[in-house]
Amino acid sequence: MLSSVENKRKRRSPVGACKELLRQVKKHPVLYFMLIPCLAYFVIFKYVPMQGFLIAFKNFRATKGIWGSAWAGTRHFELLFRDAAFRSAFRNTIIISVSKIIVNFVFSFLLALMLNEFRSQKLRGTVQTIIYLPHFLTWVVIGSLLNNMFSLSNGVVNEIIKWFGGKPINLTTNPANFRGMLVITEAIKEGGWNSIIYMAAISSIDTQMYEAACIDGANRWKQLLYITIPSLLPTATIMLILSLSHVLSAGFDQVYVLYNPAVMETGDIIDTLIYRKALMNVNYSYGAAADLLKGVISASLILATNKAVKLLGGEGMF
Amino acid sequence: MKKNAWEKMNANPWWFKLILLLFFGTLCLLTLYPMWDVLMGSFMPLSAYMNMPIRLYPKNFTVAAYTGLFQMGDVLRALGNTVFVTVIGTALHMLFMNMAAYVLSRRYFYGRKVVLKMVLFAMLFYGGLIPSYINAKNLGLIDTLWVLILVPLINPYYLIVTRTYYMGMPESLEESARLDGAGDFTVFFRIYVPSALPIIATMCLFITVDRWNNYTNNIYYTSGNNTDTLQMMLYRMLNNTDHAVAEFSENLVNDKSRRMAGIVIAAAPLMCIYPFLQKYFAKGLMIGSIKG
Repeated sequence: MLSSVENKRKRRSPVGACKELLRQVKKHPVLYFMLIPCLAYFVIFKYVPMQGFLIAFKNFRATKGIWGSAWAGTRHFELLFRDAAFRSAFRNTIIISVSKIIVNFVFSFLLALMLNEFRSQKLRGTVQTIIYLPHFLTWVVIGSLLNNMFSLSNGVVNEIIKWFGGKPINLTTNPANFRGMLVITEAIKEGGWNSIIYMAAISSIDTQMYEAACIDGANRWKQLLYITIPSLLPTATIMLILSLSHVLSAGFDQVYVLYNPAVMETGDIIDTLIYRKALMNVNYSYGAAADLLKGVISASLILATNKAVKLLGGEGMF
Repeated sequence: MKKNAWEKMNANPWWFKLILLLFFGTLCLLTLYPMWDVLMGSFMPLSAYMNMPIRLYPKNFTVAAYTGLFQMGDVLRALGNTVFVTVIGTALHMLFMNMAAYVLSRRYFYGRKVVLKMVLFAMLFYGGLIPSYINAKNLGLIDTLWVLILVPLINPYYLIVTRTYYMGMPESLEESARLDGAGDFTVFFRIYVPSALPIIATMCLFITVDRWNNYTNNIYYTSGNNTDTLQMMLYRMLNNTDHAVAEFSENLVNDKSRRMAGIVIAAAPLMCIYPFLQKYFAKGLMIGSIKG
C-alpha cells in the first residue's frame, strides 16, 4: 500500500510541521513547484486585498493609505444602516433575487420537462442549441438588444401591442415594470442553460419505470406526476438551496446595463450602489463597509446552504 | 424511425404536441429575433430600418455601417486586445490551474488541507473592489492589458471542479506509471493530462468564453481606450449615461446602424463557433455538477 504510514494523522507542533514540510518538499520537489504559481496568485490577488476589510472600520483617506488612515470603529456600518439608499438597495436586491430564483427555477424545470417530451432527437437538439444561445452573450449585447426592442417609439414589443390595439408599454424607464422586466429577461436568457442540469437528471431515470407504469395504465400525465417529478426532486432541491446562497448578488451586469436614473428606487441593487458610491463618489469606506457586510452574509449563507444540502443527502460543494 | 408498440401506446396526444410546438416556437423566436433584427439592421441604411416594422431581410443591402465603424479606428485595436487577453489568459489559467488541481488531488501531498482551505476562503470572501484596485495600482498594473489577464487569472470554482475530476481518476494510473519509474512531473504531464482531456477541453471552453465576454474588469481597472476589449468598446458605444464614458464623447456612436454593426461584431465570433461546441459545454456543466 502506498501510504498506510502517511495516513496516520500526527499532531505536530508548528516547528515539527515546518520540519515535516521541508522533508516533504525534498521528497516531492516538483509537486511544490507546480503549486507555486497558483498559490502566488491567490496570495497576491486575493489575500493581500483582504486588508480591505480594514477600510470598512477606518476613515479611509487615499493619501494616507489603508494603514495610515484613522480608525472609525463601526461608524460606517451605522451610517450604512441609516442610509435610505442602502436600505432601498438592500430591499430591491432581496426582492429581485428571490423573484429570480423562483422564476428561474420554475422556468428551467418546465423547460426540461417539456424538452423531454420531444420524440425527435434532431428537433430537440436544434431547439436546445437555440435556447442555450443567450447564455453565451453578455448583458452588454443583450441589454442593447432589449433597449432596441422595448423602445417606446418603434420597438418590436410595442409595435406588436399597437397592432393588437393596445397602448404601448414602458418597460425601460417605468419603475413599476423594471423589476418584472429584469426577472423575465433573465429567465429567458439563462433558462435554457439552467435546464441542462434537470435534463441530465431526467436522462438518468430508468426507462423501465416508464414502461412498467404504462403497462399498469398510467398515461403520460400520470407518468410525469409520479415518476419524473419525484425523481427530479432531489436535484431540484439541491439547486434551489444552492442558489439561495447567491441571494445578495442580484446580477450586477444586467442591472448596470439596463438601469437608468428613472428606475433607481426599484432597480438599484447593492452591487450597483457600491459601485456608484465607491468609484464615483469616492466614498471608499462606505463601499468597503457595504462590501464587507455583503461578503459576511453571503459566506454564511453559502456555508449554511451547503450544510443543509449535505444534511438532505446530497453532495455539497465542499 | 420505427416505433415499437410501447412507444406508440405511450405517445403524446396531438393537442399536446401542438402546445409544445407553439411554446417552443415562441421561445425560439423570442431568442433569435432580437439578434436577427440587429443583424439585418447592421446591413441596412438607417432610413430603411426605421421604415420596416419587422425586419426580415436586409432591404437596400449595404456595408456602410461596418466600414464607418472600422474607420473609427478602435475596433481593430479592441479586437486585438480581446484576442490577446483571451488567448494568453486562457493558456495561463489552464496551465496553472491544472498543475495546482493535480497536486491538490494527490493524497500524499503534505499541506493539502491547508491549501484547500485557503482556496475555499478566497472563494467565499472577496476583499472588495477598492483594495483590489489599490493592490493592482501598487503592482503598476492599472491601465495595462496585463491587469485584464492577471486579476482573474485563476477561478477557484473551476480549480475545485478540476481537482474533483483528477481525484476521480483511477489510482492505478499513477501506480503503474511509478512502477515504470516515472517522476512526479512525468506522471502528471504524460499520463494524467492526456487522460483528462474531457475536463481540460471543457474548462478551456468555459474559460475562453468568460474571458471573451468580460468587460467589468475594464470598467474597474482601466480607463482610456487603449486597453479596451471588444465588449468594453461596445459598452462605451452603446451607453452614454456613465460619467466615465462621457469624457470620451468622441466615441459616442450616434448612428444606430453603426451601433448595430458593433453588436454584431462583438457577438459574432462566439455565435459562430458556439453551435459546434455546444454539446461540450453541456457535458462540462454536468461534470461539474452531478456526480456519478
